[in-house]
Amino acid sequence: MKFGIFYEISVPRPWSRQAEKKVYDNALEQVKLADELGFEYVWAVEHHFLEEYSHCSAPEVFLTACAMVTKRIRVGHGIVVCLPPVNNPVRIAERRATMDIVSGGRLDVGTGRSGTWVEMGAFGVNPDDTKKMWDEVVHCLPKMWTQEHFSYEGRYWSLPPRVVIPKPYQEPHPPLWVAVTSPGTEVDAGERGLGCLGLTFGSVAQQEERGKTYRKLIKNCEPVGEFVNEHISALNFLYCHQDNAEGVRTGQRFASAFGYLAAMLLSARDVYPTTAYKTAGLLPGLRQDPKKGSVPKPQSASEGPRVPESITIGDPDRVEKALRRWESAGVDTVNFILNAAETVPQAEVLASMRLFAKEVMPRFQRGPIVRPSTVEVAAVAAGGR
Amino acid sequence: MPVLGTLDIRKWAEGGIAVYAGKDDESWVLKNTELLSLSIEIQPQARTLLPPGMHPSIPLCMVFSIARYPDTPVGPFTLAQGMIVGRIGVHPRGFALKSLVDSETARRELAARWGFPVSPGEAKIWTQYDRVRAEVRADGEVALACELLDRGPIEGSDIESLASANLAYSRAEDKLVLIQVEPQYEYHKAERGRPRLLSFDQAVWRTAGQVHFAQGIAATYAVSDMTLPPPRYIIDPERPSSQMPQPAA
Repeated sequence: MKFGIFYEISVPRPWSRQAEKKVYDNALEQVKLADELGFEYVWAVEHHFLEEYSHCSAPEVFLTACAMVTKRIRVGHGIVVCLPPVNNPVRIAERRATMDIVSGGRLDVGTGRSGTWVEMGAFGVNPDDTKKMWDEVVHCLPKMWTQEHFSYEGRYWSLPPRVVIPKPYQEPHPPLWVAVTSPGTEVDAGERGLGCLGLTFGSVAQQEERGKTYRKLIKNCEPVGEFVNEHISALNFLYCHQDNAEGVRTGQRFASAFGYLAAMLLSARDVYPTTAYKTAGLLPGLRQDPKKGSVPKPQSASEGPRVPESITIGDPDRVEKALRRWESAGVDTVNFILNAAETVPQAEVLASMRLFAKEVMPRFQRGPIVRPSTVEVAAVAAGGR
Repeated sequence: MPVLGTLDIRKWAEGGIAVYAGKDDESWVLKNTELLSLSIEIQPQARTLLPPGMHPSIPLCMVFSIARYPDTPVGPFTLAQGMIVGRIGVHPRGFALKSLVDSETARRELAARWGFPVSPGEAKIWTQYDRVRAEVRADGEVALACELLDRGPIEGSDIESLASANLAYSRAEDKLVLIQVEPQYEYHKAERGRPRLLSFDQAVWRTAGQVHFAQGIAATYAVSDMTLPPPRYIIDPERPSSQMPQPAA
């Protein structure tokens, strides 16, 4: 199993210019440490207008900074919003290729379509169309990276013949993933040969079921890129402490803060009835009963903590036990959220990372850092799908 | 910490709210309900219309729902509501500004059992081949006129119904309370389209010039059997029911 860290960059009110800088500085310090400790990925989201919850609207800049202060950790853009009204696909290809060059071939690209009305309403995106938009873009990206001349005429975007430059450093191109939040996206991932970038806090049983579907489909996939990226990652909270009760309590606090901020946002499904969003993405997991769900909720002191066993908070043994559950469900990478809204002091976050790396990481067999499995496939003719 | 509403609830109460009679175990089943609902983004300054126990949604929006109830325990009536969308803790709720109801019996029951901020008013809904139109009148004047344009069928299960939060005076507790009303729907038919607001009287809806519309989101029209269960939660309107853990010092 591999481990990564994952950033939303949440900045609690009251805001100040210093507060935002502090959050970014803290994140960069954590990334440097993660690199030293053997974490294999740092991921950062792309979100716009998600007050407090995510001030990460230019992740390519943050991730480039991460690459500049590290030596080996892979930088994952997770996810880049693949909707032409938000990001022109050419600009996605160009920026990602440049990131891959300056990071020395350490880029992974997560793709996705957004799930909030906050973002879609701002960019004039019809929620009904996002899956189709994403599909067009995700088929074009590898071709822009590998073909000298590229042209495309689609329903949602077009490009006359152009040489899209630069090309990525990695041959043939960086690994591609898709954010898997809505049920059924694992099917899209499997059919297209994309890695499953889990971004919800669903149950282990749910994950196992979806993982089976994915692994089955990917065997006969038609890859959008030039290789199949067969991986399943899950997202979790990490707070590791020698004292289990303290670890659970602190982890629960920041996980609750994360859920609280997420709940303020209007998801697409909240206000725009559509079959394109069967769930509200992250939000259902955060709003459900903690007894049934997987995200700890604020509890009264008398109740004590009620934390699902699949959440990776507590002492090293408890964290290991939680990870084993995900491992047995077929997950091969777990990405961790380390803090939310600066609920946990930076020194404690760093201590948690160190303890995890010292006591938990060695318990999981880790191979060398390799690029996700590659299966060569025939090059697709120029001119798009 | 997410922003909280700043409504002066005592001053608001002076302008007229319901007197909540207390818990009642009886649910109402409202058969063949016709409901037109519009979601519209509004400018953020309208968060001053939310009580301090609620967070504004991001972005802030307003929901109008206009309903015709042909078959109810108190006979047929119409109900038009205007709500500012917010959150109680982490749960989406619409703060009910005003509910216009055309039946005196229904007004009395809705106020006493669920705390709806009722006033007399009539609502009409017309279905046309390309649109569904509604007009709401209070004191004979148009309080709201709106449309769903470009009708298209959807699944009823795609509609996320919004529970309302009604500010009322609780006789039993002798204080102001926020009553959460969570209707349940069994859909027979559902449609979605574009919302269009034709007329909106700020005075009737008690928005005091604070509501400025930004952009329409969606409109739905549905026929359903609706159940109005007894309130499950009655909370303090002045304090959030749960709080986000505070950041480290």
